[in-house]
Amino acid sequence: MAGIDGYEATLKILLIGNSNVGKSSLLLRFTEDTFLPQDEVAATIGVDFKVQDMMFEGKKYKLTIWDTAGQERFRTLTSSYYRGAQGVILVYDVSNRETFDQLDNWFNELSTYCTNKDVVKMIVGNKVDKEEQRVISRKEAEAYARKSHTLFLECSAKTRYGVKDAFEELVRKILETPSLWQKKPSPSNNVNVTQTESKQDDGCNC
Amino acid sequence: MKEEKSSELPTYSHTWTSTQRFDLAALCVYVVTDSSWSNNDAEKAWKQSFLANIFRQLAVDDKKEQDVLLRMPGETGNVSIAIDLLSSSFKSLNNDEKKIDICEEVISDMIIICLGLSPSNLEKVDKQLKANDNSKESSFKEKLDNVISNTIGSTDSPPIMPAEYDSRARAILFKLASHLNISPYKIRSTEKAVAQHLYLLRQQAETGKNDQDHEIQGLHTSANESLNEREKRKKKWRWMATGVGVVVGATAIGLTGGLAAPFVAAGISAITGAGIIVTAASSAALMGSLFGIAGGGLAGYKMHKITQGLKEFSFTRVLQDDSLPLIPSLHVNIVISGYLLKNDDEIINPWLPTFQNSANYSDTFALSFDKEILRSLGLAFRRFLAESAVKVVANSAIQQTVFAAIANALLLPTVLMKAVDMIDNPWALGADRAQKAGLVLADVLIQRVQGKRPTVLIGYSLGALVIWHCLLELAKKQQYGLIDTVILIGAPITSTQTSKWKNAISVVSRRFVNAYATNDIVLGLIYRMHSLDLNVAGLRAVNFDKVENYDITKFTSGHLGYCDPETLSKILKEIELY
Repeated sequence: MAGIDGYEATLKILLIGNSNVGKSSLLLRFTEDTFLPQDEVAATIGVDFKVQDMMFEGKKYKLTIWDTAGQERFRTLTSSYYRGAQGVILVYDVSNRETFDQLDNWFNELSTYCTNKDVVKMIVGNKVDKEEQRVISRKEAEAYARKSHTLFLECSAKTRYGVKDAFEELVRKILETPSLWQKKPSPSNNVNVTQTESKQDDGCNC
Repeated sequence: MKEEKSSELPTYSHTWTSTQRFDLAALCVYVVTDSSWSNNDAEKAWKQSFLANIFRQLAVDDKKEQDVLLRMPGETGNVSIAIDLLSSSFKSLNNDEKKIDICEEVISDMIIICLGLSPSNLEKVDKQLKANDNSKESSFKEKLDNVISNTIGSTDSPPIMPAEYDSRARAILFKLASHLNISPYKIRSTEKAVAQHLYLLRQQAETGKNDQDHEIQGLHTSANESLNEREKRKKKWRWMATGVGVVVGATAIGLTGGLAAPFVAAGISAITGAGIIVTAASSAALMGSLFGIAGGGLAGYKMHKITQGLKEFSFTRVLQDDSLPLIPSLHVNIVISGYLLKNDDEIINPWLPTFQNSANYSDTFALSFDKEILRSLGLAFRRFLAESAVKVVANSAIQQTVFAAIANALLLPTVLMKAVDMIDNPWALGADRAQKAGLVLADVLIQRVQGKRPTVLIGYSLGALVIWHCLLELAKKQQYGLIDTVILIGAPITSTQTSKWKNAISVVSRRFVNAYATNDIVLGLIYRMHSLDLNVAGLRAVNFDKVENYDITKFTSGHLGYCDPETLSKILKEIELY
């Protein structure tokens, strides 16, 4: 069922977590394999988008990744972010206890707004390069992930460690959950003219 | 995290102290007074209504206070000193850790004011609409028109600002930011946040109440789910249909001309109180006209009449990954290539690297007109440069500053004349089409096909000529507040016609950039042949107020270098687009 451009499917992935845990850095490492030092990054406002192709078992998938702002004042209309997401990555900073403790809140938000109960969730502990400042042990995080039935991985956007694995693991799990993507092969914005016209006919009251 | 925030646009000004609000209002008065474009009555009226709106939002209601503010610029005389004093007072009030925040808040609130989406303004619209709600037959648009014209007519209440982003307002915003030491990038990111918010608000308003209930429940059968999914997709289709404008033809113009269709739809629910917060509903709806999405916008624009002597005139969206939501930006870039050397992709390709990076920030459309002519011009250019005579001239030119040399040699060698002759015809044709395309472009912009948002025009070679004629037409029709920035690269435009330049500059609200290269042999020879004049904007600095000149000789090999994506991206980087 490969669509136009040879994509097997388009998957929507969401990055959430406290501010300054490195969501945007993870994404930058994953899509462009670069890393910006602390003073060169700005807080994300609203949401940033990235598109990345991924080969998986010989098939090509398009990942559309929504990188959301961690700071609450920059988050607006949060529910819209979750619409149609197939995978959600919850990021915390292994050297910051608060970011880990707040995962509960993020799970709450997720369960409130995420319309699909099958959505694949993954907890990612970032900044493991700061080993000596680590305050969340792998064990503790693993236990938490097991309890909340999510995938878990540690990584470092700075050193590359685990970044690719995280996204691959997530995609693997999404593909193992057919209900997530088989019904609607591509939530793309491609417009088919005839379809558009017929859709417009019903229920358009403008 | 906890509760979903109110779906209204967040504003901050009510959290500031009255001194802060007063100071900001004062700063605005200075900046507005200090800015002038065409200096006519229409501009004065616009400034008045703009300031009135700012006073209202900043709660400087007192007539006396307003008078004091408005008289200040005249009394202190030296505006820049006054601005410094005021801005430092504004900053000193916030020298705690909130300082950075308040700058962001200022920008955010100012953008919302500029858009005419401030709560006070919308409340007014809503109130008046409710008062006028007796006659059910008249359409929502008519009612709104009534409301607006009534308030503008009456003297006791300040006029309602229509929801549109005037390019003059944006220019004032940038000035304000520079006085407050706020980076222009901050404006860009705040604009992006506001645009996203409006987009999502609109989506929410469209998906409506059912969807919200459904979200709150969180539990539902799969049948229900797929039904909802279909529903949502249907809404999405509608957005697509209007946003990308695949099927929109002639009607596009009619629809976007006034206040647009989605406005009517959501507006009705606002009147009948169908569950959505009134201000949210109307701001989401207003945004429809703001972004020009109602009738398909630029991408949906097709020339409805081929009476202009043009075979082709169309817009293509530059760089849009079709799997991302099409979140519109608060301004539009229109880029125009001036010739086609190798293939038709050069309408879009040269612009890709520049606008790839700002993909999150701006809508960019490439304008293409009569490609056939542009192709034959490109071919002529190549043959021209292959001529040995031209090579000789070009080489000597680079060694000893071309134009002095050519200008001195009033009589060109015959071989060279022949070479120039080769270009003559395609060039004349191209210049003619560029002029026509410029007129059509002006029409498109006046009809607001691009939405009610500021437009940035960038073009090289004949593309710059298109822009030039577009600007002159806009000036002739007294259309101010449409164009934010103009960037002319290698422009085949004489730099001596003062009145034309003044007119063209008057319709550009913020930046007018002339990028020139002294090694542009093609422009030098052709233009010389055609106009017997070497004062060409693409070859040298242009000396008019407000024109920023950039010498880009070091980036390009000459006229044909502009279509190289890398060259163009270097040039535009130097110019610094925000």
